[in-house]
Amino acid sequence: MAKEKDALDIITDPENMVKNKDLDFDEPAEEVHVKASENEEDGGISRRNFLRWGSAAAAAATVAGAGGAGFAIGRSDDAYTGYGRTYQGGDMFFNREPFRTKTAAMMEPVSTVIRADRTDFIFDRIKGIIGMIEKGEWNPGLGLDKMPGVIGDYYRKKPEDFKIMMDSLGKYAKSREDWKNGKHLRYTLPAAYTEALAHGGMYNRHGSTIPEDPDDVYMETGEEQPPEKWDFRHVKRDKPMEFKSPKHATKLIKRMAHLFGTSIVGIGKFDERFMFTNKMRGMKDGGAHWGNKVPEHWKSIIIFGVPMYWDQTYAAIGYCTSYDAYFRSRVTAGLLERFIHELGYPARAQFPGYHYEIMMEPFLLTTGLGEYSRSGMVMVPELGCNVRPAAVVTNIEFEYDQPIDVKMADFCLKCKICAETCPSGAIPTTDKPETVVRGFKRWYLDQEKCYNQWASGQTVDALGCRVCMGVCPYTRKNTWIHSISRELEPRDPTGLVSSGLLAMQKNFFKYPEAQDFRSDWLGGTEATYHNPPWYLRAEEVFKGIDKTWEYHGME
Amino acid sequence: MFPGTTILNYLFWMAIGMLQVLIVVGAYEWLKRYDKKVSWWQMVLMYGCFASFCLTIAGGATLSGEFETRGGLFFIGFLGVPHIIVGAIMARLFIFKKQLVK
Ligand code: SF4
Ligand code: SF4
Repeated sequence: MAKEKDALDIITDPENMVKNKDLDFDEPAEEVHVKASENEEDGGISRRNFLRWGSAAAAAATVAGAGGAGFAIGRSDDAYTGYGRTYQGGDMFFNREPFRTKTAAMMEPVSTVIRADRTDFIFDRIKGIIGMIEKGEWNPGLGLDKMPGVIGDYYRKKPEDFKIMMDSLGKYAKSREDWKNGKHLRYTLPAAYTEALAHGGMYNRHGSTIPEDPDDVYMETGEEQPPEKWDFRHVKRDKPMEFKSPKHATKLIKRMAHLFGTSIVGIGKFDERFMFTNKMRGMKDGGAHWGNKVPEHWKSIIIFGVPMYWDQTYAAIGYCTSYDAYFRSRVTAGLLERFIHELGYPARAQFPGYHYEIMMEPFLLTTGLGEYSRSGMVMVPELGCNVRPAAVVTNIEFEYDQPIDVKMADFCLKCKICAETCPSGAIPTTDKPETVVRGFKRWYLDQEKCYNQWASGQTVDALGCRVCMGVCPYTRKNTWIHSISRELEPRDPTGLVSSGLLAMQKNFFKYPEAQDFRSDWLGGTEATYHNPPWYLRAEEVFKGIDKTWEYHGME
Repeated sequence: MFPGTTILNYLFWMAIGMLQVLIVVGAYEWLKRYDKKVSWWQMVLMYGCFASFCLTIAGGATLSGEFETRGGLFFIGFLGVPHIIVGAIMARLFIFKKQLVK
């Protein structure tokens, strides 16, 4: 083997030197302007000593700088996707193109697909039950047999669910009582935050603040608002503006969706399989007799979403709310709906909490925004489970997005963190998805159990828990360390990266147990996943609040 | 590193870049002083190990910044110790090697 040239030889080889006297340090001393001190220890700092000790100091500074920079990146609000500097489109930073596929995981039907009915939507059931009680048509003392209407029919097929629902209503009453009796003091700030968003942002005394909702108009005027009327209400043009191509339409509408505040957006063909039956806002009884009709102009769907604010998401249950994300996704929905009307096309906003004729999750999948998860929610690469969607249905012809396969659903096969941490046991722990839900095999979130936790939870409206969202390893901020995982994992055919990441997640981090998240009167410690930020701790800013509790989350 | 500023971050990373040059050039000075010889690829490997160690520190600190300090410390411990071991082995093999042929 030829003799290798070592590094010093290369550096000192005259061939490799720049012939410039100012830079030629190894020229004889007398030819260099600054002499003597170059090679001698004469009391000053020699060049060699400077380099030697400078390099040691530089190495130490680099390690310190790496630590400092890492810490600052982790702590910075700039890493809060959807709230950082990259608001207008930059939040959707994961390149989905290499991962496009024909059908998303768990979206291949295994039997006949059945459309969900309004009674399959838990909030319609709750609304129905409360309505019956208020009108004196029924009360829990009368039992399930006497429960009237479609909701009675629904629960007679699922008596166990009925028992859980009755238990939930009891817990709801108890938690409201506690709240009135002073429990709210600890939660003063998250409660104020929630109420500001709900009643300052989402609703006013006439109903929905933004977007306009056909139910409100029906209630005000008594006049039904069928979609053929409502969806065209602001269309002023005789003829819609014609796009140069579907591609142009997609590009423009996505840009506008970002401009109107969304973090992620996908566009797909409207698929009636994912539309509720017997549900149509603006019609009598919320469209209870609508049947399975599909408005002809519902051809395309623009679906988008934003995250809940990250500090609160991690501080579930008591310090978290969905309303900050709901509010922002509603704003996007309202603005985009109007924008499309202005171009001469019909449009109808579908928005949270319950102003929908469609199910959101399947459309997040068909448009390639994310993948279905064990916890029953859709996870997206940028936000994990922390995404609250809204949509606009229209008849614009678009170039449609395709589903993706980024192996998130595969990760759920190994990871059961959400199921193990769920305080109500609503998330299945089976290794593989086993339940056939209306034609699709998937993990099935037990809505009744989940709501049971909500009803007894330590929030101002007894709505929401969201522990599963916070603990999911995909629900992480946009820092370089998570970006590396995000990019590596779907490209690793061996599955070693995901196994390694999961092992780290399970062993490096210590967070409360499922039971700890529950209310104190149910044996929990009202723990949070992360401790709440200072600005949600009432005892830190108000007089007269004695801190009688401990924080049990990570920090 | 400096949230909210427009220029300090760039200056910081420029300074860190300059320090890397100083580290490598200074390392050769140390080697020269003790009359050690290290080939370029050995230096690349050793510098790579150092850079990777810095990333480990940064990764742990990032987790700590995300309010997951325990995870961050485990991260540094779990990945940092192997770096130190590998670094020591490289130093032994590349710098403090026995002079087989004089
Ligand atoms: S919201 Fe809470 S109760 Fe419902 S599934 Fe998630 S962790 Fe479980
Ligand atoms: S916590 Fe784990 S199992 Fe649950 S949704 Fe997230 S990745 Fe899937």
